[in-house]
Amino acid sequence: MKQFVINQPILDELTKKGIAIRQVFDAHKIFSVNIMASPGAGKTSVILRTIESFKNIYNIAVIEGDVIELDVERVRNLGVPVVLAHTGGSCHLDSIMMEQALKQLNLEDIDIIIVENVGNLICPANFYLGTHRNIVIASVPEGDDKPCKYPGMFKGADIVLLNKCDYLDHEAFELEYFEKGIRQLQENIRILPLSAKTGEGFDKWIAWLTNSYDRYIKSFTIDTS
Amino acid sequence: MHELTYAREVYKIVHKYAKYCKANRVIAIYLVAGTGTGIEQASFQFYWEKLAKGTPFEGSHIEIDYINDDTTLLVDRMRIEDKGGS
Ligand SMILES: Nc1nc2c(ncn2[C@@H]2O[C@H](COP(=O)(O)OP(=O)(O)O)[C@@H](O)[C@H]2O)c(=O)[nH]1
Ligand SMILES: [Mg+2]
Repeated sequence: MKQFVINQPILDELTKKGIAIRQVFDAHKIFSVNIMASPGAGKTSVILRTIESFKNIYNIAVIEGDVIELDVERVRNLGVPVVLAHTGGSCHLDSIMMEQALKQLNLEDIDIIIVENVGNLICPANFYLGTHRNIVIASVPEGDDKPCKYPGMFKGADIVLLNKCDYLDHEAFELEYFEKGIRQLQENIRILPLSAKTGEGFDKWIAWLTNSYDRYIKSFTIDTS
Repeated sequence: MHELTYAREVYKIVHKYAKYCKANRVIAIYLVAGTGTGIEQASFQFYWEKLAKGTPFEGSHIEIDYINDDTTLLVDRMRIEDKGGS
């Protein structure tokens, strides 16, 4: 019997694969967002309404991290390309699953890829997928303490959407406390209350996304000579 | 909770090294994990056995050495039976 020293970090390979995916996105000038939230916060609902707003402006494709095709069907009904990134019951998407899903999309015709991660406020934050922005969705019925409970998730967000704000009048939800929980982690982050049901607040979210996309595309044309 | 993902990565890493050192059979694999990574010995072993079935890793034992941080996760070493026998 022999001992064999290896001493190799485990997450390295996954991160490297995430970086490779980012390079594929950039080669095709595809802007990508990773949507993370707990189950039922409204990820799919927000995605559907976003597609409706963008459909005739940008070519959108969606990657659904899931085990069954339910949400895939909901997106497919809107007529945009959508693939299932099969998670095999895992609690998060990783770059291997992303790579498999991307193989099924025709990248030539896509401007924006929206990734719906697995419903979970802990695990997805630990896995780099190669996407350009992290969108974290919280929702009013979940309660105002989620940023305090799941700092790992809110720390990595580029914007926080507070969905189901149509419930704000009915629930004992303190917006100030919620925002404070996030600002303790990131002082200047954008926090947007919205409702995928009524459409309230979507103009601001769409403007943020459009602006982020424009900046991304512009970054390719900056004169470096 | 990430055990499946991690098990796949560990498999890739040890597969490479097992080939390199011409291992007949792998007896044990030693990991070092931060307690904050949430990785669990029993769950990991469960996925590992599924992945290892029918490979030189079948029957191998996973041993996790925990340290007190959030991020560390590495394959430290393995115990093998080499071609010449033990
Ligand atoms: N009242 C209200 N319900 C919503 C809103 N957004 C989503 N829902 C509902 O919340 C449930 C879960 O939404 P879904 O988009 O499937 O959540 P996901 O699991 O995060 O993808 C569904 O019944 C939606 O109709 C909203 O803004 N207001
Ligand atoms: Mg969904």
